[in-house]
Amino acid sequence: MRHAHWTAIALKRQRRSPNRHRARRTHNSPPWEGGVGGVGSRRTSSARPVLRQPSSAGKPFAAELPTSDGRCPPPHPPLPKGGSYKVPRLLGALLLFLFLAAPTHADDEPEIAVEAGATEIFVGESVDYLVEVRNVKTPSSPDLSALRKDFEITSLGDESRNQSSTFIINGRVTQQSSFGHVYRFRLTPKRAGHLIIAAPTAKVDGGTISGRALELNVVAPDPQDIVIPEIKTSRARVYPTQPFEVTLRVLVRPLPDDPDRDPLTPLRRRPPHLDVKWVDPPAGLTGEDKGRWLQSHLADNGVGFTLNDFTMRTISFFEGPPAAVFNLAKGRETRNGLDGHPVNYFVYELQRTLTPDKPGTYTLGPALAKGAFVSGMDGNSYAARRLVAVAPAATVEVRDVPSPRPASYCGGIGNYRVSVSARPKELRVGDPLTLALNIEREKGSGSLDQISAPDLGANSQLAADFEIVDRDPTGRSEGNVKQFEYALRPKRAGVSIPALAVTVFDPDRETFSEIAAKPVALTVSAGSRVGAGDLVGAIGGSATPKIQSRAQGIFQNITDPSELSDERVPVGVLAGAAAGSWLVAGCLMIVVSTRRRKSGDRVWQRKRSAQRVAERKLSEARKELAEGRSKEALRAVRSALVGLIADMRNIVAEGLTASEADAALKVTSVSSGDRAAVSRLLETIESAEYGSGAAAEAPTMIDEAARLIPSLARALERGS
Amino acid sequence: MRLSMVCTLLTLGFVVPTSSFAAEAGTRQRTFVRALELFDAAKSPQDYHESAALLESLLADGFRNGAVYYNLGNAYYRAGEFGRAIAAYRKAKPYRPRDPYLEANLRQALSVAPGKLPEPPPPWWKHVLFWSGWLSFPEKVYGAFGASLLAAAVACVAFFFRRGRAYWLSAVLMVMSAVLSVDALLGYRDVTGANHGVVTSETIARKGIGKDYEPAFNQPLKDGAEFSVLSENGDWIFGHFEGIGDGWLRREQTTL
Repeated sequence: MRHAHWTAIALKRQRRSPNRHRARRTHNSPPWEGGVGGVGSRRTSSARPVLRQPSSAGKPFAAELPTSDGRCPPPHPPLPKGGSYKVPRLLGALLLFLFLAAPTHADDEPEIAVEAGATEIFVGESVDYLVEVRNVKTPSSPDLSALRKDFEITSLGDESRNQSSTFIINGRVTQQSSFGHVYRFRLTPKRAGHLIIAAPTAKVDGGTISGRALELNVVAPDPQDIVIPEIKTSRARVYPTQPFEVTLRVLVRPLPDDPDRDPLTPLRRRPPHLDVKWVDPPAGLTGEDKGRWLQSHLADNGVGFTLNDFTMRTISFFEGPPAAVFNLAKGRETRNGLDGHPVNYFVYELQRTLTPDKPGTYTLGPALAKGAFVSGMDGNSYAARRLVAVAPAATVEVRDVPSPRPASYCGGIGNYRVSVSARPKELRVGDPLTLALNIEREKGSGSLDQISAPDLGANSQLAADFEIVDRDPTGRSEGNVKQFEYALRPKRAGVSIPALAVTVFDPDRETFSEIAAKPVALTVSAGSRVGAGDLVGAIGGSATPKIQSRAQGIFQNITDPSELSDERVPVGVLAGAAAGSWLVAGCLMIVVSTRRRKSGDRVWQRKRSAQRVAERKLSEARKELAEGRSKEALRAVRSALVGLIADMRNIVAEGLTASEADAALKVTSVSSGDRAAVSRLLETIESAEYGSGAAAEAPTMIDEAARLIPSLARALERGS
Repeated sequence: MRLSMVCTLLTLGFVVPTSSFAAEAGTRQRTFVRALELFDAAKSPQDYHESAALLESLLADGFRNGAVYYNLGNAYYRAGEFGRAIAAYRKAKPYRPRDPYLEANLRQALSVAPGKLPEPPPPWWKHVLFWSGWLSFPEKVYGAFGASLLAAAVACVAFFFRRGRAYWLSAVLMVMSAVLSVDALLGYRDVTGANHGVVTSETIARKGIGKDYEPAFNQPLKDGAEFSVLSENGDWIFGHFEGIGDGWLRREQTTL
C-alpha cells in the first residue's frame, strides 16, 4: 500500500516537472533559454537520462564515428538504473489507481515516507529527495541533521496533501480525511562511495517518528586524461563589491588523426554537456545579466558544449527545443597526460565576473563535463568514450573591510583616482562656489555605489577658509566616475582649494591608503559690494538673442523700469471676448442668412412691400383726383385696398370683389370696424364705377383709405 | 445741469482710475528701484534678503512681471537660498522665455543647489508645440485671442462678401488660435506654479502625512530639490521627485 502511494506521488512530480521547465524558459530573452536549477536531479529524473547513465559511468565504450563527414552516430542510450522513474507508465497508472482507491486515513498512525530521485549518481551531481509526513494534520518540518555529514541539503519547498472526502450511501453520510505533507530537498553528496541517506525524523504529538534510510551510490569518475575540467577564480580573497572572475576551464585531448582540429567537431550531433552551478550566482554574489553574458558564447555551427538546461527558442510540433550550444574555445595548453607524455590540449573557458555583496565564504562548483569524447581510432572511425569529469569546487572568501576605519574613509575598495574642480574660479568673498570631487574607479575595484561623499569638514584648512554649505551631497555616477558637488562660500579673500584627500581600502595590501587630489587655485576678491565692474554684461530693455560667454556667478539684475509693466493676462476676459466676438459674428451671419433666404420668398416680398405699394397707389389716386379724373382716382383707391389685402393674404388681386375681400379679412385679426369700413368703401367705389354719384365723395374716400391702410397692414401682419 | 453731471461722472469714471493706476505704477517703480539699490549695496545675505522681500512685496497683490521674478531669483541666489532662487527663475520663465540671461542664471542656480535632482524629460507636447519655449505666456494668450478675433472677422467678411478663400483664411486663423490656446493652457500651470515646487530647506520626505511615517528616501531632501505636485492635503504636499520617487512634504518647507 505504501509503495503504491509513493509511486503516485513520484508520477505526479514527473508530470509537473516539464511545466516548471517551460515556465522558466519564458523568462529569458535570448534565442536560447533556460536556467541551471536542479541540473543533476532534473536530468536524473526525466530530461536526459542518456547523459547521466550510471551504468556507463567509468566504463569506456567504443562507438563507430565516421571520419569522412566528421559526424558520429548517437550512442545507444543504456537503460537507467534505480529510481522511480524507471517504473513503466502502465504500472504507474495501476499503482496510482490503487493509491486513489485506498487513501491514507486520518486515524492511521503517523508515518514518514521517503523517496530519492535516483540510486546512483556521479560525484558533483545532485539528487531530489522527498519526505512525506503522513497522517498528521499540521506536521513540523522533518529533521535532516543526520544527513548533513555526507550531503549538502537544499530545500526546494513543501506542499500540503491534505484531502477530505464525503460519501453519502443510502442516506448515510461518511467523511474520510487523509493528511500528508511533502517536503522537497536536493541532496548533493560531499564524497563518493556507497552513502546512506539517513532516516529523517519528525516531532509528532510530543513523540518522534522516523522514516527509512535509503542507499545512494555516488560514483567517482575514473582517472582519465581525455577531458579535464577545472574551476579557477581570479582572487581567493576579496572584499565586498570587489569583482572577481570565476572560470570553468575544460581541457580536451586533441583528435588522434588531426591534432589541430577542434576535438568537439565530430561530436556536433551530440555535443558534450556542462553542468555549471554558478551560471546563477549563489546568494550574496551578483553577476552581469546572464542573457547578455551567454549570448556572446553562442555557437553558430553547433560545435561546442551544451550548458545546464539552456535551449534554443525553437517551436516544433514534433520535438522539444534543441539544446543551446556554446562555443567556449579559448586556445591550447600543454600538459602531461596520464602516461607522462605532454599533450597539447584544446582549452575551453566559460568565465564570469561576480561581485560579492556581503562577507562570507562562497563555494563555486563543482562543475561537471559529461558526454562522449573521442578517445582514439577504431579503424577509419573515431572511438568515443562516454565520460563524466568533475571539476572540484573553488571557494572565494569575502572579507569585510577591517575596523576601525579612518574618518575620511569613503567606502572605496581597490584603486581609485581623485580629482577636484571648482567653478567659478574668480569670485568674491561670500559668493557661492561649486566644488566637484570626482572619484574614478579603476578596473577590479569595488562598486561606486558604496562610495559616499567624503566629509570636507574633516579638512581643517578647507573648513577654515570656506563655509561648507552642503556637507553631504548626493553623488552622481557616470561610467567609472562618481562625482560629488559641494556648495562652498569663501570666508576671506585670497583663499584656494587645498589638496583634498580621501581614504580607500587597498585589498591587496589590506590597509587603508589615502589618495589626494591636486589643489585648485582660486581668485577670491574681498569685494563685498556688487559693483558695476563685477557684472558681466548689461541687459538692456530687450534681451539679446545670443548668449555671451561668462566666467563667474549670475548675470546682473534688470534695471530698466520700463520693463516693470504688469504682465498679468486677463485670461477669462479675453476668452469671454473671443467667445463674444464669435457670438456677434454668428448673430450677424444668422441675420444676413435670414434676409437672404427671405429675399427669395415671393410671398414674404409681397407682404413686405404691400403697404408701400398701397400708399403709392393712394398717392396716384390723389394725383388723378387733382387732375379731375375722379373715376380713375376711385379705381386707384380700390386697387390700393384690394392690393394690400391680396398681398398680405397672398391671393390674386385681380377681380377681388368687396365681399371676397371681406371674406379674406374675416379670418384675420382685422377689427370688425375696419372690416366694415373696407367693405363699405369698396362697395361705394364699385357703385361709382357703374355710374352712381359716389365719385363726388372721392376725396373723402381717399382720406378714409389713407386711414385704413396702415391699420389694415398692421392687423394683417399680426394675424397672417 | 444735466450736462455738467454727465461730465463729472465721466471725469470720475476715467480720470480717477487713471490717476490711481499711475500712482500705483509709480509706487511699484520706486519699490523696484529701492530693491535694486539694496541689492547693489548688499554686504551680507541678510541684505539680499531685504532686497528679495521688497521684490516679493511687488508681487503680493497679484502683480506679475518677469523682470521682478528674475531680480528676485538673483537676490535669493546671492542670499544663498538656491531653492527660492530656482523657483523665482522658473516663474520668470513664462514671461521671459527668450531671455538668455535668465536661462543662464537658472542653470547656475541649479548647478550649485545642494539638493539638485535630475531634471525630468520634457513632456511630449513640448516636441509637438516646438515653439512653446520661444513664446511667452502673454504672447500665447494674446496671440490666441487676436487670431480668434481675426478669424471671426474674416469669417464674417467671407460670409457677407461670399469669398471662398477667406473661409480658408478664417479656418487657418482658427487653428492657430486653437493651437496657441492649447499651448497657453498647458503652460498655465507653469505660470501659477501650482504643480511645481522646490524644497527650500533640508527636510525629510515621508511615506505618509505626518512625522510618524517612515522617510520616503534614504537621505534628506536639500535646498533646491525640485518636484512636481501630485496632490495636496492641508499642510502636506505629495510630490514626485525625479529619479528618486514620491514622498510627502510639509508645505512650509517648499516654495508652494
